Amino acid sequence: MAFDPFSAFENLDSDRLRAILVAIVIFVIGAIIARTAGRLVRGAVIRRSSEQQAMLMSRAVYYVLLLMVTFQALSTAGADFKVLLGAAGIFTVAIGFAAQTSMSNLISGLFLVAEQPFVIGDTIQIGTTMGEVVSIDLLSVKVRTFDNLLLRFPNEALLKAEITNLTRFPIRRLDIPLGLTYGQDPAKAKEVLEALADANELILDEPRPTLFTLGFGPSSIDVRFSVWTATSNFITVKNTFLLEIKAAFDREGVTFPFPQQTLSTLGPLPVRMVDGDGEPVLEEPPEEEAAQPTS
Amino acid sequence: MTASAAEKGTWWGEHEVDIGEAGRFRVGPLRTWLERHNCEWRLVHTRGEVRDDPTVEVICPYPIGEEPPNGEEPRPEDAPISRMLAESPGKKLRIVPVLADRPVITRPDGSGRVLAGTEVDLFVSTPLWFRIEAIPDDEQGPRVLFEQAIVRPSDTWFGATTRDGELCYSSRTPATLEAEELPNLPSRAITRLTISNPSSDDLDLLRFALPAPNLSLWLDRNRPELGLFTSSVLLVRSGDGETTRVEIQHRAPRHLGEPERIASPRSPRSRNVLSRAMSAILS
Repeated sequence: MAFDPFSAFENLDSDRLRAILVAIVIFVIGAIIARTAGRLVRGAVIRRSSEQQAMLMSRAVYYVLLLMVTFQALSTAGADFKVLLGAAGIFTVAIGFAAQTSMSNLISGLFLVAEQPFVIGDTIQIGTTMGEVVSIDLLSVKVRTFDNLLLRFPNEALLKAEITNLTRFPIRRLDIPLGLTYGQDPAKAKEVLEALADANELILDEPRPTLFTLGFGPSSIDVRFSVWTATSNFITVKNTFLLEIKAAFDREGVTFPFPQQTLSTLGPLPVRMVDGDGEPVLEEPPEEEAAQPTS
Repeated sequence: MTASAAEKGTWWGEHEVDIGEAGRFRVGPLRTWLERHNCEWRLVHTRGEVRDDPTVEVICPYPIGEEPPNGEEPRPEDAPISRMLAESPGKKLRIVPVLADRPVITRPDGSGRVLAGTEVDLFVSTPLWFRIEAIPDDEQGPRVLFEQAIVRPSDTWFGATTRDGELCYSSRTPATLEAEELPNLPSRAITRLTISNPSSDDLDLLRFALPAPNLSLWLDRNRPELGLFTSSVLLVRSGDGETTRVEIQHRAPRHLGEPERIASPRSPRSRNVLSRAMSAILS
Protein backbone atom coordinates (compact mmCIF):
# COMPACT_ATOMS: atom_id res chain seq x y z
CA MET A 1 0.00 0.00 0.00
CA ALA A 2 1.58 3.24 -1.11
CA PHE A 3 2.22 5.88 1.54
CA ASP A 4 -0.13 8.80 1.17
CA PRO A 5 1.16 11.83 3.08
CA PHE A 6 -2.19 13.47 2.90
CA SER A 7 -4.08 10.54 4.39
CA ALA A 8 -4.07 12.11 7.87
CA PHE A 9 -5.98 15.08 6.58
CA GLU A 10 -8.76 13.00 5.00
CA ASN A 11 -10.18 12.40 8.46
CA LEU A 12 -10.28 16.10 9.24
CA ASP A 13 -13.48 17.87 8.52
CA SER A 14 -13.42 21.39 7.21
CA ASP A 15 -14.36 22.89 10.60
CA ARG A 16 -11.44 21.23 12.32
CA LEU A 17 -9.08 22.27 9.57
CA ARG A 18 -10.37 25.80 9.77
CA ALA A 19 -9.86 25.77 13.54
CA ILE A 20 -6.25 24.63 13.16
CA LEU A 21 -5.54 27.28 10.55
CA VAL A 22 -7.10 29.95 12.77
CA ALA A 23 -4.99 28.72 15.69
CA ILE A 24 -1.82 29.02 13.60
CA VAL A 25 -2.78 32.53 12.54
CA ILE A 26 -3.55 33.45 16.16
CA PHE A 27 -0.18 32.10 17.27
CA VAL A 28 1.78 33.91 14.56
CA ILE A 29 0.02 37.24 15.11
CA GLY A 30 0.21 36.80 18.85
CA ALA A 31 3.94 36.08 18.68
CA ILE A 32 4.49 39.24 16.65
CA ILE A 33 2.44 41.25 19.13
CA ALA A 34 4.36 39.72 22.05
CA ARG A 35 7.71 40.62 20.48
CA THR A 36 6.55 44.15 19.68
CA ALA A 37 5.21 44.60 23.21
CA GLY A 38 8.53 43.42 24.60
CA ARG A 39 10.42 45.98 22.53
CA LEU A 40 8.04 48.79 23.53
CA VAL A 41 8.42 47.90 27.21
CA ARG A 42 12.20 47.83 26.84
CA GLY A 43 12.18 51.26 25.19
CA ALA A 44 9.96 52.70 27.90
CA VAL A 45 11.85 51.19 30.85
CA ILE A 46 15.37 51.95 29.60
CA ARG A 47 14.65 55.70 29.73
CA ARG A 48 13.86 55.44 33.44
CA SER A 49 16.05 52.56 34.58
CA SER A 50 19.09 50.45 33.77
CA GLU A 51 19.54 48.33 30.66
CA GLN A 52 19.41 45.15 32.72
CA GLN A 53 16.04 45.96 34.22
CA ALA A 54 14.73 46.95 30.81
CA MET A 55 15.87 43.62 29.39
CA LEU A 56 14.27 41.65 32.24
CA MET A 57 10.96 43.51 31.95
CA SER A 58 10.83 43.13 28.18
CA ARG A 59 11.52 39.41 28.37
CA ALA A 60 8.96 38.91 31.11
CA VAL A 61 6.31 40.67 29.03
CA TYR A 62 7.29 38.71 25.93
CA TYR A 63 7.17 35.28 27.56
CA VAL A 64 3.93 35.95 29.45
CA LEU A 65 2.19 37.15 26.28
CA LEU A 66 3.63 34.25 24.29
CA LEU A 67 2.32 31.77 26.86
CA MET A 68 -1.13 33.35 26.75
CA VAL A 69 -1.12 33.29 22.96
CA THR A 70 -0.02 29.66 22.94
CA PHE A 71 -2.84 28.62 25.26
CA GLN A 72 -5.34 30.59 23.22
CA ALA A 73 -4.10 29.02 19.99
CA LEU A 74 -4.28 25.53 21.45
CA SER A 75 -7.73 26.24 22.80
CA THR A 76 -8.89 27.48 19.40
CA ALA A 77 -7.41 24.39 17.76
CA GLY A 78 -9.58 22.30 20.07
CA ALA A 79 -6.86 20.94 22.35
CA ASP A 80 -8.13 19.23 25.43
CA PHE A 81 -6.26 20.75 28.38
CA LYS A 82 -7.27 17.96 30.72
CA VAL A 83 -5.38 15.52 28.53
CA LEU A 84 -2.46 17.90 28.28
CA LEU A 85 -2.29 18.43 32.03
CA GLY A 86 -2.50 14.72 32.59
CA ALA A 87 0.32 14.08 30.18
CA ALA A 88 2.33 16.88 31.77
CA GLY A 89 2.10 15.17 35.09
CA ILE A 90 3.56 11.99 33.63
CA PHE A 91 6.33 13.76 31.79
CA THR A 92 7.26 15.98 34.73
CA VAL A 93 9.30 13.30 36.41
CA ALA A 94 11.14 12.43 33.20
CA ILE A 95 11.67 16.07 32.32
CA GLY A 96 12.77 16.82 35.86
CA PHE A 97 15.66 14.40 35.56
CA ALA A 98 16.56 15.52 32.07
CA ALA A 99 16.35 19.24 32.88
CA GLN A 100 18.35 19.24 36.09
CA THR A 101 21.14 21.32 34.62
CA SER A 102 18.76 23.71 32.92
CA MET A 103 16.72 24.17 36.10
CA SER A 104 19.89 24.72 38.10
CA ASN A 105 21.01 27.34 35.62
CA LEU A 106 17.57 28.96 35.67
CA ILE A 107 17.45 29.17 39.46
CA SER A 108 21.07 30.34 39.60
CA GLY A 109 20.13 33.05 37.12
CA LEU A 110 17.35 34.24 39.41
CA PHE A 111 19.82 34.45 42.29
CA LEU A 112 22.27 36.38 40.11
CA VAL A 113 19.54 38.82 39.11
CA ALA A 114 18.48 39.32 42.72
CA GLU A 115 22.01 39.65 44.10
CA GLN A 116 23.34 41.75 41.18
CA PRO A 117 27.06 41.12 41.50
CA PHE A 118 27.18 42.74 38.05
CA VAL A 119 24.83 44.35 35.55
CA ILE A 120 24.84 44.65 31.78
CA GLY A 121 27.70 46.91 30.74
CA ASP A 122 29.97 46.04 33.67
CA THR A 123 33.48 44.76 33.03
CA ILE A 124 34.05 41.57 34.99
CA GLN A 125 36.87 39.10 35.45
CA ILE A 126 36.23 35.40 35.94
CA GLY A 127 39.45 33.50 36.39
CA THR A 128 41.73 34.75 33.65
CA THR A 129 38.89 35.93 31.44
CA MET A 130 37.98 39.59 31.35
CA GLY A 131 35.20 41.18 29.36
CA GLU A 132 32.04 43.23 29.20
CA VAL A 133 28.69 41.74 30.23
CA VAL A 134 26.42 41.96 27.17
CA SER A 135 23.41 39.98 28.39
CA ILE A 136 22.12 38.13 31.43
CA ASP A 137 19.82 35.40 30.15
CA LEU A 138 17.73 32.68 31.72
CA LEU A 139 20.41 30.02 31.56
CA SER A 140 23.65 31.86 30.95
CA VAL A 141 25.53 35.14 30.94
CA LYS A 142 27.17 36.34 27.74
CA VAL A 143 30.46 38.21 28.01
CA ARG A 144 32.29 39.97 25.18
CA THR A 145 36.06 39.91 25.59
CA PHE A 146 38.13 42.90 24.56
CA ASP A 147 39.39 41.04 21.50
CA ASN A 148 35.74 40.68 20.49
CA LEU A 149 35.06 37.08 21.35
CA LEU A 150 31.73 36.02 22.82
CA LEU A 151 31.91 33.82 25.90
CA ARG A 152 28.95 32.03 27.43
CA PHE A 153 29.03 31.25 31.14
CA PRO A 154 26.32 28.99 32.58
CA ASN A 155 24.60 30.75 35.48
CA GLU A 156 25.27 27.80 37.74
CA ALA A 157 29.02 28.11 37.17
CA LEU A 158 28.91 31.84 37.82
CA LEU A 159 27.09 31.41 41.10
CA LYS A 160 29.98 29.27 42.33
CA ALA A 161 32.78 31.30 40.74
CA GLU A 162 34.80 34.19 42.11
CA ILE A 163 33.80 37.19 40.03
CA THR A 164 35.66 40.48 40.06
CA ASN A 165 33.60 43.46 38.97
CA LEU A 166 36.05 46.04 37.70
CA THR A 167 33.54 48.82 37.06
CA ARG A 168 31.15 48.63 40.03
CA PHE A 169 32.54 51.67 41.86
CA PRO A 170 33.15 55.14 40.37
CA ILE A 171 36.82 55.30 41.38
CA ARG A 172 39.61 52.77 41.27
CA ARG A 173 43.16 52.53 42.55
CA LEU A 174 46.14 52.00 40.26
CA ASP A 175 49.09 50.27 41.94
CA ILE A 176 52.47 50.85 40.32
CA PRO A 177 55.27 48.58 41.53
CA LEU A 178 58.66 50.24 41.35
CA GLY A 179 62.20 49.52 42.39
CA LEU A 180 64.63 52.11 43.73
CA THR A 181 68.36 51.51 43.59
CA TYR A 182 70.04 51.18 46.97
CA GLY A 183 72.06 54.28 46.23
CA GLN A 184 68.94 56.33 45.45
CA ASP A 185 67.49 58.77 47.97
CA PRO A 186 63.94 57.42 48.55
CA ALA A 187 62.77 60.84 49.69
CA LYS A 188 63.67 62.35 46.33
CA ALA A 189 61.89 59.59 44.44
CA LYS A 190 58.81 60.15 46.62
CA GLU A 191 58.92 63.88 45.91
CA VAL A 192 59.15 63.32 42.18
CA LEU A 193 56.27 60.82 42.18
CA GLU A 194 53.97 62.98 44.27
CA ALA A 195 54.64 66.06 42.14
CA LEU A 196 53.92 64.03 39.03
CA ALA A 197 50.62 62.77 40.48
CA ASP A 198 49.61 66.30 41.52
CA ALA A 199 50.28 67.59 38.01
CA ASN A 200 48.12 64.88 36.40
CA GLU A 201 44.54 66.14 36.32
CA LEU A 202 43.05 62.68 35.97
CA ILE A 203 44.65 61.43 39.19
CA LEU A 204 42.46 62.22 42.16
CA ASP A 205 43.68 64.63 44.82
CA GLU A 206 41.65 62.65 47.33
CA PRO A 207 42.28 59.84 48.27
CA ARG A 208 45.89 60.99 48.28
CA PRO A 209 48.52 59.16 46.22
CA THR A 210 50.60 56.99 48.57
CA LEU A 211 54.04 55.43 48.40
CA PHE A 212 54.35 52.12 50.24
CA THR A 213 57.70 50.50 50.95
CA LEU A 214 57.30 46.79 50.37
CA GLY A 215 60.70 45.47 51.28
CA PHE A 216 64.35 45.11 50.41
CA GLY A 217 64.83 43.12 47.22
CA PRO A 218 68.07 41.57 45.97
CA SER A 219 68.73 44.50 43.63
CA SER A 220 66.44 47.28 44.78
CA ILE A 221 64.20 48.74 47.44
CA ASP A 222 60.75 47.58 46.37
CA VAL A 223 58.03 50.17 46.64
CA ARG A 224 54.49 50.57 45.39
CA PHE A 225 53.06 53.91 44.32
CA SER A 226 49.24 53.91 44.51
CA VAL A 227 47.09 56.55 42.86
CA TRP A 228 43.33 56.81 42.49
CA THR A 229 41.43 57.77 39.38
CA ALA A 230 37.89 57.70 38.02
CA THR A 231 37.09 54.19 36.79
CA SER A 232 36.33 55.61 33.35
CA ASN A 233 39.86 57.07 33.17
CA PHE A 234 41.67 54.01 34.52
CA ILE A 235 43.03 52.73 31.21
CA THR A 236 44.11 56.21 30.11
CA VAL A 237 45.95 56.85 33.36
CA LYS A 238 47.56 53.42 33.34
CA ASN A 239 48.82 53.89 29.78
CA THR A 240 50.15 57.41 30.24
CA PHE A 241 51.24 57.72 33.86
CA LEU A 242 53.85 54.97 33.75
CA LEU A 243 55.55 56.67 30.83
CA GLU A 244 55.36 59.99 32.66
CA ILE A 245 57.16 58.37 35.60
CA LYS A 246 59.91 57.11 33.31
CA ALA A 247 60.35 60.57 31.76
CA ALA A 248 60.34 62.30 35.15
CA PHE A 249 62.87 59.87 36.63
CA ASP A 250 65.17 60.41 33.66
CA ARG A 251 64.80 64.17 34.02
CA GLU A 252 65.40 64.23 37.78
CA GLY A 253 68.22 61.71 37.78
CA VAL A 254 66.31 58.99 39.63
CA THR A 255 67.71 55.71 38.41
CA PHE A 256 65.91 52.46 37.80
CA PRO A 257 67.60 49.40 39.30
CA PHE A 258 69.03 46.59 37.26
CA PRO A 259 69.63 43.10 38.59
CA GLN A 260 73.01 43.03 40.28
CA GLN A 261 75.13 40.20 41.62
CA THR A 262 78.15 40.45 43.91
CA LEU A 263 80.70 37.66 43.33
CA SER A 264 83.07 36.66 46.14
CA THR A 265 85.90 34.15 45.51
CA LEU A 266 87.95 32.12 48.00
CA GLY A 267 91.22 33.02 46.30
CA PRO A 268 92.66 35.09 43.48
CA LEU A 269 90.74 34.74 40.31
CA PRO A 270 92.91 34.08 37.26
CA VAL A 271 92.20 36.52 34.47
CA ARG A 272 93.29 36.11 30.83
CA MET A 273 93.12 39.00 28.43
CA VAL A 274 92.23 38.27 24.84
CA ASP A 275 91.81 40.45 21.78
CA GLY A 276 88.79 40.67 19.52
CA ASP A 277 89.71 37.42 17.78
CA GLY A 278 90.05 35.56 21.05
CA GLU A 279 93.83 35.46 20.84
CA PRO A 280 95.58 35.98 24.16
CA VAL A 281 97.12 39.38 24.64
CA LEU A 282 100.49 39.21 26.31
CA GLU A 283 101.30 42.25 28.36
CA GLU A 284 104.91 43.32 28.55
CA PRO A 285 106.06 43.42 32.17
CA PRO A 286 107.20 46.80 33.53
CA GLU A 287 110.88 47.61 32.99
CA GLU A 288 111.77 47.18 36.70
CA GLU A 289 110.43 43.67 36.78
CA ALA A 290 112.15 42.78 33.52
CA ALA A 291 115.50 43.90 34.89
CA GLN A 292 115.23 41.88 38.10
CA PRO A 293 116.40 38.29 37.95
CA THR A 294 113.71 35.72 38.57
CA SER A 295 114.20 33.43 41.48
CA MET B 1 33.55 93.07 20.87
CA THR B 2 37.19 93.82 20.61
CA ALA B 3 40.01 94.82 22.82
CA SER B 4 38.07 97.47 24.77
CA ALA B 5 35.91 94.92 26.47
CA ALA B 6 38.92 92.74 26.96
CA GLU B 7 40.70 95.62 28.70
CA LYS B 8 37.98 95.47 31.36
CA GLY B 9 38.52 91.72 31.64
CA THR B 10 35.05 90.95 30.28
CA TRP B 11 35.67 88.33 27.62
CA TRP B 12 32.04 87.22 27.26
CA GLY B 13 29.34 88.63 25.02
CA GLU B 14 27.75 88.26 21.58
CA HIS B 15 29.37 88.48 18.16
CA GLU B 16 28.22 88.23 14.58
CA VAL B 17 30.46 86.14 12.36
CA ASP B 18 29.64 85.86 8.65
CA ILE B 19 30.71 83.06 6.34
CA GLY B 20 34.40 83.51 5.63
CA GLU B 21 35.12 85.23 8.95
CA ALA B 22 36.94 84.05 12.04
CA GLY B 23 37.37 84.90 15.70
CA ARG B 24 40.12 84.44 18.21
CA PHE B 25 39.65 84.31 21.96
CA ARG B 26 42.37 84.18 24.55
CA VAL B 27 41.26 83.81 28.14
CA GLY B 28 44.08 83.04 30.51
CA PRO B 29 45.98 80.03 29.19
CA LEU B 30 43.09 78.90 26.94
CA ARG B 31 43.29 79.99 23.30
CA THR B 32 40.44 79.31 20.90
CA TRP B 33 40.18 80.01 17.18
CA LEU B 34 36.94 79.59 15.29
CA GLU B 35 36.01 79.99 11.65
CA ARG B 36 32.66 80.12 9.98
CA HIS B 37 32.33 78.27 6.68
CA ASN B 38 29.25 77.36 4.70
CA CYS B 39 27.08 75.16 6.96
CA GLU B 40 29.83 74.58 9.50
CA TRP B 41 31.91 76.04 12.28
CA ARG B 42 35.53 74.99 12.71
CA LEU B 43 37.24 75.24 16.08
CA VAL B 44 40.78 74.82 17.30
CA HIS B 45 41.92 75.26 20.86
CA THR B 46 45.20 75.05 22.76
CA ARG B 47 46.09 75.57 26.36
CA GLY B 48 49.25 77.29 27.57
CA GLU B 49 51.45 76.18 30.43
CA VAL B 50 50.99 79.20 32.74
CA ARG B 51 47.92 78.51 34.86
CA ASP B 52 47.76 82.01 36.34
CA ASP B 53 47.94 83.74 32.97
CA PRO B 54 45.90 86.97 33.33
CA THR B 55 45.73 87.69 29.59
CA VAL B 56 42.36 88.42 27.99
CA GLU B 57 42.17 89.05 24.26
CA VAL B 58 39.11 88.96 22.04
CA ILE B 59 39.47 89.61 18.31
CA CYS B 60 36.26 88.92 16.43
CA PRO B 61 35.44 89.01 13.60
CA TYR B 62 38.24 89.12 11.04
CA PRO B 63 38.51 87.55 7.55
CA ILE B 64 39.66 83.93 7.38
CA GLY B 65 43.17 83.63 6.05
CA GLU B 66 44.34 86.95 7.39
CA GLU B 67 46.31 87.14 10.58
CA PRO B 68 44.18 88.65 13.35
CA PRO B 69 44.77 92.40 13.69
CA ASN B 70 47.40 93.00 16.35
CA GLY B 71 47.48 89.29 16.75
CA GLU B 72 50.68 87.77 18.00
CA GLU B 73 49.83 84.15 17.73
CA PRO B 74 48.55 82.53 14.53
CA ARG B 75 46.37 79.46 14.65
CA PRO B 76 48.57 76.39 15.10
CA GLU B 77 48.57 74.30 11.94
CA ASP B 78 48.96 70.93 13.64
CA ALA B 79 46.23 71.32 16.26
CA PRO B 80 43.16 69.10 15.74
CA ILE B 81 40.15 70.83 14.20
CA SER B 82 36.62 70.29 15.49
CA ARG B 83 33.93 70.71 12.87
CA MET B 84 30.35 71.55 13.83
CA LEU B 85 28.02 70.91 10.93
CA ALA B 86 24.52 72.34 10.64
CA GLU B 87 22.15 73.23 7.84
CA SER B 88 21.72 76.83 8.97
CA PRO B 89 24.12 77.48 11.79
CA GLY B 90 23.38 81.22 11.92
CA LYS B 91 25.95 83.94 12.33
CA LYS B 92 25.36 84.91 15.94
CA LEU B 93 27.73 83.61 18.56
CA ARG B 94 27.57 83.95 22.29
CA ILE B 95 30.65 83.58 24.48
CA VAL B 96 29.55 82.58 27.96
CA PRO B 97 31.41 81.92 31.19
CA VAL B 98 30.04 78.94 33.11
CA LEU B 99 30.95 77.27 36.35
CA ALA B 100 32.14 73.70 36.82
CA ASP B 101 29.88 70.78 35.94
CA ARG B 102 30.68 69.06 39.24
CA PRO B 103 31.01 70.31 42.83
CA VAL B 104 34.39 71.88 43.53
CA ILE B 105 36.22 70.78 46.65
CA THR B 106 37.80 73.99 47.75
CA ARG B 107 40.84 74.02 50.00
CA PRO B 108 41.71 77.40 51.47
CA ASP B 109 45.42 78.10 51.52
CA GLY B 110 46.69 77.77 55.05
CA SER B 111 44.54 76.52 57.87
CA GLY B 112 41.78 78.51 59.52
CA ARG B 113 39.35 78.09 62.33
CA VAL B 114 35.89 79.57 62.76
CA LEU B 115 35.41 80.14 66.44
CA ALA B 116 32.43 78.73 68.28
CA GLY B 117 29.30 80.85 68.22
CA THR B 118 30.49 83.10 65.38
CA GLU B 119 29.71 83.77 61.77
CA VAL B 120 32.29 84.87 59.23
CA ASP B 121 32.24 85.97 55.56
CA LEU B 122 35.06 84.72 53.38
CA PHE B 123 35.82 85.19 49.70
CA VAL B 124 37.18 82.24 47.73
CA SER B 125 37.71 81.72 44.02
CA THR B 126 36.50 78.88 41.84
CA PRO B 127 37.43 77.78 38.29
CA LEU B 128 35.53 78.99 35.22
CA TRP B 129 34.68 77.26 32.00
CA PHE B 130 34.68 78.90 28.54
CA ARG B 131 31.67 78.15 26.36
CA ILE B 132 30.78 79.14 22.79
CA GLU B 133 27.11 78.97 21.82
CA ALA B 134 25.71 79.33 18.32
CA ILE B 135 22.35 81.08 18.05
CA PRO B 136 20.60 79.68 14.97
CA ASP B 137 18.59 81.88 12.61
CA ASP B 138 15.43 79.81 13.11
CA GLU B 139 15.09 81.09 16.69
CA GLN B 140 15.58 77.74 18.26
CA GLY B 141 17.55 77.50 21.44
CA PRO B 142 21.31 78.11 21.43
CA ARG B 143 23.58 75.18 20.59
CA VAL B 144 26.81 74.62 22.44
CA LEU B 145 29.70 74.49 19.99
CA PHE B 146 32.55 74.35 22.44
CA GLU B 147 33.11 74.15 26.18
CA GLN B 148 36.38 73.76 28.04
CA ALA B 149 37.73 74.57 31.46
CA ILE B 150 39.97 77.61 31.15
CA VAL B 151 42.34 75.88 33.59
CA ARG B 152 41.41 72.23 33.98
CA PRO B 153 41.22 71.47 37.71
CA SER B 154 42.25 68.11 39.07
CA ASP B 155 39.70 65.39 39.73
CA THR B 156 39.04 64.41 43.30
CA TRP B 157 36.66 62.26 45.32
CA PHE B 158 34.34 63.53 47.99
CA GLY B 159 32.76 60.92 50.23
CA ALA B 160 33.03 59.05 53.50
CA THR B 161 34.25 55.90 51.70
CA THR B 162 35.58 55.02 48.27
CA ARG B 163 32.25 53.34 47.47
CA ASP B 164 29.82 56.12 48.29
CA GLY B 165 30.56 59.62 47.27
CA GLU B 166 30.84 61.90 44.32
CA LEU B 167 33.46 62.71 41.73
CA CYS B 168 34.36 66.39 42.08
CA TYR B 169 37.01 68.88 41.06
CA SER B 170 39.71 70.07 43.40
CA SER B 171 40.70 73.70 43.79
CA ARG B 172 43.07 75.59 46.05
CA THR B 173 42.32 79.22 46.80
CA PRO B 174 43.20 81.90 49.26
CA ALA B 175 40.28 82.57 51.60
CA THR B 176 40.21 86.31 52.15
CA LEU B 177 38.01 88.71 54.06
CA GLU B 178 37.79 91.13 51.12
CA ALA B 179 37.07 90.27 47.49
CA GLU B 180 39.76 92.70 46.32
CA GLU B 181 42.44 90.67 48.08
CA LEU B 182 41.94 87.70 45.77
CA PRO B 183 44.09 87.49 42.62
CA ASN B 184 42.11 88.89 39.69
CA LEU B 185 42.21 86.14 37.10
CA PRO B 186 39.91 85.68 34.09
CA SER B 187 39.89 81.94 34.75
CA ARG B 188 38.20 82.20 38.14
CA ALA B 189 35.06 83.60 39.73
CA ILE B 190 34.69 84.79 43.32
CA THR B 191 32.28 83.29 45.82
CA ARG B 192 31.18 84.97 49.01
CA LEU B 193 31.01 82.17 51.56
CA THR B 194 29.28 82.77 54.87
CA ILE B 195 30.15 80.19 57.52
CA SER B 196 27.96 80.10 60.58
CA ASN B 197 29.17 78.07 63.56
CA PRO B 198 26.56 78.22 66.33
CA SER B 199 27.94 75.11 68.02
CA SER B 200 30.12 75.15 71.11
CA ASP B 201 33.21 73.86 69.27
CA ASP B 202 35.56 75.70 66.98
CA LEU B 203 35.39 74.64 63.36
CA ASP B 204 38.58 73.77 61.47
CA LEU B 205 38.24 75.00 57.95
CA LEU B 206 40.22 72.51 55.86
CA ARG B 207 38.01 71.99 52.83
CA PHE B 208 34.42 72.29 51.71
CA ALA B 209 32.31 71.28 48.73
CA LEU B 210 31.17 74.27 46.69
CA PRO B 211 28.01 73.34 44.71
CA ALA B 212 29.28 75.00 41.53
CA PRO B 213 26.64 73.55 39.12
CA ASN B 214 23.92 75.21 41.18
CA LEU B 215 25.36 78.73 41.26
CA SER B 216 24.71 81.69 38.97
CA LEU B 217 27.36 84.10 37.72
CA TRP B 218 27.06 87.83 38.36
CA LEU B 219 28.93 90.96 37.37
CA ASP B 220 29.06 94.25 39.25
CA ARG B 221 28.55 96.85 36.51
CA ASN B 222 30.04 99.47 38.81
CA ARG B 223 33.26 97.49 39.21
CA PRO B 224 33.69 95.10 36.26
CA GLU B 225 37.42 94.97 36.91
CA LEU B 226 36.77 92.72 39.93
CA GLY B 227 35.57 89.99 37.61
CA LEU B 228 32.71 87.58 38.03
CA PHE B 229 30.98 86.63 41.25
CA THR B 230 28.95 83.51 41.90
CA SER B 231 25.80 83.32 43.96
CA SER B 232 26.62 83.58 47.64
CA VAL B 233 26.72 80.39 49.68
CA LEU B 234 25.79 79.96 53.31
CA LEU B 235 27.15 77.04 55.34
CA VAL B 236 25.35 76.62 58.64
CA ARG B 237 26.74 74.11 61.09
CA SER B 238 24.16 72.48 63.33
CA GLY B 239 24.20 73.12 67.02
CA ASP B 240 25.51 69.64 67.80
CA GLY B 241 28.21 70.01 65.18
CA GLU B 242 27.22 66.84 63.30
CA THR B 243 25.70 68.19 60.11
CA THR B 244 25.93 71.20 57.88
CA ARG B 245 23.21 72.86 55.88
CA VAL B 246 24.23 74.40 52.59
CA GLU B 247 22.08 77.28 51.40
CA ILE B 248 22.51 79.00 48.06
CA GLN B 249 21.47 82.64 47.87
CA HIS B 250 19.93 82.68 44.41
CA ARG B 251 19.34 86.43 44.41
CA ALA B 252 22.19 88.77 43.48
CA PRO B 253 25.05 88.91 45.99
CA ARG B 254 24.26 91.81 48.28
CA HIS B 255 27.76 93.28 48.18
CA LEU B 256 27.47 94.03 44.43
CA GLY B 257 26.53 97.64 43.70
CA GLU B 258 24.81 97.12 40.35
CA PRO B 259 24.48 93.40 39.76
CA GLU B 260 23.92 91.86 36.33
CA ARG B 261 23.32 88.13 35.89
CA ILE B 262 25.78 86.79 33.32
CA ALA B 263 24.96 83.06 33.48
CA SER B 264 22.30 80.88 35.08
CA PRO B 265 23.12 77.72 37.03
CA ARG B 266 23.87 74.59 35.04
CA SER B 267 21.37 72.68 37.19
CA PRO B 268 19.04 74.60 39.44
CA ARG B 269 18.29 72.92 42.76
CA SER B 270 16.16 73.60 45.79
CA ARG B 271 17.16 76.42 48.09
CA ASN B 272 18.19 74.36 51.08
CA VAL B 273 20.39 71.37 50.52
CA LEU B 274 20.94 69.00 53.42
CA SER B 275 24.55 68.00 53.20
CA ARG B 276 26.45 65.04 54.55
CA ALA B 277 27.92 64.63 58.00
CA MET B 278 30.27 67.32 59.18
CA SER B 279 33.28 65.05 59.15
CA ALA B 280 32.91 64.55 55.42
CA ILE B 281 32.53 68.21 54.59
CA LEU B 282 34.46 70.38 56.96
CA SER B 283 37.18 68.15 58.31
